[in-house]
Amino acid sequence: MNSRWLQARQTKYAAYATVYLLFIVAIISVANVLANRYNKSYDSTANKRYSLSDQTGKIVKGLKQDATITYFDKTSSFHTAKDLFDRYATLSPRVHLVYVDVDKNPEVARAAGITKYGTAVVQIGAKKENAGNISEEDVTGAIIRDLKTGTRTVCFLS
Amino acid sequence: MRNIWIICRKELRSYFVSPVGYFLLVMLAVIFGFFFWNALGYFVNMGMEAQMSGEEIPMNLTEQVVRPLLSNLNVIGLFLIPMITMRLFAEEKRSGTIELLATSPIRDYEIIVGKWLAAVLMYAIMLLSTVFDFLYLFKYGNPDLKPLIIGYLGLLLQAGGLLAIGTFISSLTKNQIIAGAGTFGICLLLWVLGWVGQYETATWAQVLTYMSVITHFESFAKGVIDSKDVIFDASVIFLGLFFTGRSMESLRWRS
Repeated sequence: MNSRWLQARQTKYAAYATVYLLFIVAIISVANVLANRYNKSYDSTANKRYSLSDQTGKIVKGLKQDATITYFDKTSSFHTAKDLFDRYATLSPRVHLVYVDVDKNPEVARAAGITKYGTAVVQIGAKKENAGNISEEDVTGAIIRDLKTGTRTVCFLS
Repeated sequence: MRNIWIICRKELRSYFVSPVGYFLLVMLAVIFGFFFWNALGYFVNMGMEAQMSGEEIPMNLTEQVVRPLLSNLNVIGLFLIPMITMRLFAEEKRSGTIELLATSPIRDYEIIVGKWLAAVLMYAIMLLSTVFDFLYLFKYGNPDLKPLIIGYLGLLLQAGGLLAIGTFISSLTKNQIIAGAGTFGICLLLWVLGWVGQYETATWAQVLTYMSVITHFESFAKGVIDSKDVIFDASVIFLGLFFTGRSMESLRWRS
């Protein structure tokens, strides 16, 4: 009975169709993962309301190492920063975004020295900078501070 | 291509030989007209209040009227799409004409694309009826034209995907009610999938959020074209039609 069912024309066609569907779904999934990673944007608004400035574009596109923007807040408030951070990620695949729920992961927030909700930290290599407010000026400022190499010497005159 | 166009024209005509097409058109025009009147009234009221209080509140017609209206239009579409697709294949199955179609010299993909294209054109005609409301904005205000065009493009692309899903569901049953309810259920699910992203950050939640159609409409509503959104919508269209193709094919080997 079992072998007859296995050899039946319907079973063969069903198996073939299932494999075919899974194969196509896998290809489409990969295409979407790549599309999400290498997104390109066109802002049609008159004053380029949803685009970052040329200066930010130049800095972010010129990144030679990966930059991680970690945003600490409640999950329900992530959307307030997502719009801005997504624009950074769109500019370069080197930008990675991490959202940390402070209430669910207090140890991560404590280790990063976070004391208030809605804080972003930009990390490039070993350097970490607090972005302060969630605005283009502050986030780009943190990236620039991260990129500045060399140690600063402070001299005191007495 | 010629066969696709013949099927498409035949399907499109069938919407208008019965009251279905006219009913959907009138329903959308009335509902959207109410939304438009409401949004505009709210905007005018806000402007007057700002003027009277002497405060300088930034007023932007595109942001405060056009963008929410496009999102409202998208919600209305969710209810109308199952009504457009429910009869596509279910009716052929019920009346027995599906056998004639399946054995005709027309290829399966020509039948599927033809029917889907007719559904898309029907939806486009319905959207066209809402353009008149926006023309009113251009007569008395100065909204941005390009974001509005991109918003409509987003509506059409997203609807294309949902209509492809509806075409597939319709090919699975001979009962139009089941086809309509099934399409509505799946479209609604694809709509609300993104809600998990509001309280969960795990990878599975991010995947579900990405699979939500509403996630991919936000940029269009703002007047921004993101390549990932276009590719997502194109993927849904392709998968919907591809699944319909396999469903049509199964008619032969299941019998």
